[in-house]
Amino acid sequence: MEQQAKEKRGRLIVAFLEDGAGIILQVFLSVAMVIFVLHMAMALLHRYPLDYGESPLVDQAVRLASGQGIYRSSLLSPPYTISNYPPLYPLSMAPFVKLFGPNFWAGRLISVASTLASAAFLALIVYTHSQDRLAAIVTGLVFLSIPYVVGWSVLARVDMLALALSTAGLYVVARWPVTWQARRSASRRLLGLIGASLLLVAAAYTRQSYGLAAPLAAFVWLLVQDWRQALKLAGLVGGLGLGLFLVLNLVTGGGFFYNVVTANINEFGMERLQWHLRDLWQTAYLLLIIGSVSLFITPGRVKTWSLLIPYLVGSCLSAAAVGKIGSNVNYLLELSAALALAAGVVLAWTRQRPWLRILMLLLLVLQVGQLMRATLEGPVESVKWRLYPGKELEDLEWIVQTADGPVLADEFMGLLTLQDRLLYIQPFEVTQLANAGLWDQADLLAGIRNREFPLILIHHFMDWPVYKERWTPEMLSAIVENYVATDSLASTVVFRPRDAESGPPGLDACSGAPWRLPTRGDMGMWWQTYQLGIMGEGLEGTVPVYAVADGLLLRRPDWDTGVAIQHDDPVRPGEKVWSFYGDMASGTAGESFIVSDFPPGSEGVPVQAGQLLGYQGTWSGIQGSPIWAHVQFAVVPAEPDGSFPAEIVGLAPEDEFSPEDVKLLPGEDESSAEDEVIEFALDPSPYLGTVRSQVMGEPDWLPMRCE
Amino acid sequence: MFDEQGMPIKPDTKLVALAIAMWVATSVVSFLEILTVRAIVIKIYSHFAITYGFYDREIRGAQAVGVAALVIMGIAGIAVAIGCGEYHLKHFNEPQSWKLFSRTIAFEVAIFALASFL
Repeated sequence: MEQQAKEKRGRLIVAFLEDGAGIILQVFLSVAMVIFVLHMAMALLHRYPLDYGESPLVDQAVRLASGQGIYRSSLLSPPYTISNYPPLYPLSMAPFVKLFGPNFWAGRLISVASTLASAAFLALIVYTHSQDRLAAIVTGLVFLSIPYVVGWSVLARVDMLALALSTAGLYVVARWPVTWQARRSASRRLLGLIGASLLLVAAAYTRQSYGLAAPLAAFVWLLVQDWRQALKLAGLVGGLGLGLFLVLNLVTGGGFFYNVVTANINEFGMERLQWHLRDLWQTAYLLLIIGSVSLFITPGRVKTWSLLIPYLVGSCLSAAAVGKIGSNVNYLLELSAALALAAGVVLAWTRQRPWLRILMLLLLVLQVGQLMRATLEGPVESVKWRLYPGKELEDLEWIVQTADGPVLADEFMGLLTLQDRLLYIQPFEVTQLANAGLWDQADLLAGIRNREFPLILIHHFMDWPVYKERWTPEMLSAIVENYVATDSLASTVVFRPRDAESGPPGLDACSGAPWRLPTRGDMGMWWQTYQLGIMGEGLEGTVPVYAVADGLLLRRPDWDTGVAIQHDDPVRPGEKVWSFYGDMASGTAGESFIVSDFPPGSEGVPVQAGQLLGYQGTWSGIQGSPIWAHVQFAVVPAEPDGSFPAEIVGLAPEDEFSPEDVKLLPGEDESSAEDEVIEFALDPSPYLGTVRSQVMGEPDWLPMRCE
Repeated sequence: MFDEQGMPIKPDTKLVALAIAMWVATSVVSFLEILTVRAIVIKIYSHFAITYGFYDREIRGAQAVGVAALVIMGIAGIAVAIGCGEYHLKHFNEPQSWKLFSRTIAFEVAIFALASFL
């Protein structure tokens, strides 16, 4: 009797623990959903593009809505646009564009609805075979917690619709043997087979990469139960898919193949693949472990193993394409769905194993916590910064609106679309084709050289020079030679045709300035704490850095990346001043780019104005975290004895800017913010004759220019 | 609770002590967690709304969501202390009372765990 009571108490405690673990997970998932909804609300109604890939799709929807084709068979003449994907998604946007005019919200709304539908179908697959409500809810909500899903759910991109269609197809396949086979209804089975096939083909005709994992999973699932049905499905999906492909290719004169296949074969980089896989591991390592474990424990134990395992394997194969240049985490979305499904299936399997279930629930708590943090630090931050330059985007839109003639743009080409103007070029796509030798850029280059475009907009990201993937070196060179940067708005440089007064590019010195320029700053300047970052166009170790004036060079033994030169101060006669050149080293390997004439320990070495000191580097202060090629330039007042000040030895870039560091020069007007200087360094603009930066701590993407 | 003769059963002292201790602990923790929840809410708010730092507008926004969190958690704290107390009194040593304890503790653990992730 006592033994029974003890056992009962034990069972009760385990049940409470299981219930408690479930509650903790549900609280975590609820907060994750709050984050999902807030992120969605923030992004959904933003007027401007949130991603490079949105604008071409809206452009395609505009073309389709007006009865134009989107698959041209060659790019011999403008517009130089490519439709990388099959037509289903732009077709789904076309009615909205027709009714409300060009917009991004409709596409984003389709993506949000598709994301929620995908979560529901994944949950239904788990519920259909386990009747485990908690496992089903966890499947759907874990999927919605994954940062890749959160980030992509609000973009007007093809991916979420394709995923919704493929998971719907999987659900139909997973459900019908359970219900319709039991009713022995051949007609319903056939209907289910046709429905699933249509959905799977529709997914592949939304995004071609969805033609692998889900159809493979559906085929293996049926094969295990009834090989005839599997063959029928393969025939239907293959036949429909191939037939449609032939029809579309025929109708477009080969344009469909050219756009969807040829133009998608971009260069593959193992480094890129490794980076994304590392990120995936850091973000969702527990889901990956659960997914891997499911490969071993589900066969023979869980009915859905024949659906889950091929889906996992297929989505891993699709995810490998993330190594292609220009790829993004959208290649990981199908894998995210498969991992969420695996988590749900394994959780349902533990239903009769309470201790295992408690462990599984707690592991998922840990994973969801990390997913939430990754979401807040990733997609949420990303959207927030996209929204931040709101007024500047309005100004940029107005500039585009008033431009008379075709405009070339990259990240913000959607500003043209919003003005109901068709795109002239998709720079990334045609650059990849040009790099592969599949497109002759001569006509476009001639247009740039003839200054046929009233505006060219080139966007810059601080952490990676993406513009180099979007414009060929020839295009960039033609732009720099024939256009002049006039504005920098929303991290986008506005180029206008160069006229005679703009002068030639690549200045060595500003007229009337006492010093020459230390290096090329054609990518912009960056005021950081008390130094001026000057960013040149080129790879690390290729943009030369010169002495600004005659003087005596110092390179202390512990200076790995910089040198300083002592000069007679031309602005404060009778004083000594130092010019400092930092960060001349590789950000990845730490290799110094300072010329060998000035080894560490050099002191009092005479140098002349224009003498080569080294090359711009990507050193950020932390090895392994390279930034743009640049040199950190500073003008430092000498100590009374003329020596280099001891307290700024190293000029550490990691030093945080603090308002206490800002001091006014004696006698200057304290009300004028522009007269503020840093106590350690002097404003270099009177020495170089350059325009003084208006912002502190922010990149100014306009090329370095004279006052 | 009554025995077969209709006489009231004297509750097990250990169980009474355990129930009172758990009620006091969950009530105290629910009030302590007011600040934890406020911190979580402000952290999430800052991820969405703060860009270059806490300037006037951002501070006012953070204060507003912080106050809202305080009010909601204050009510929740009272609900846990009074509502759950009444429930446990009524259903002492019944499975649903222990289940409510386990769920309250789970919620409180979840909130502390959330704070460590966000």
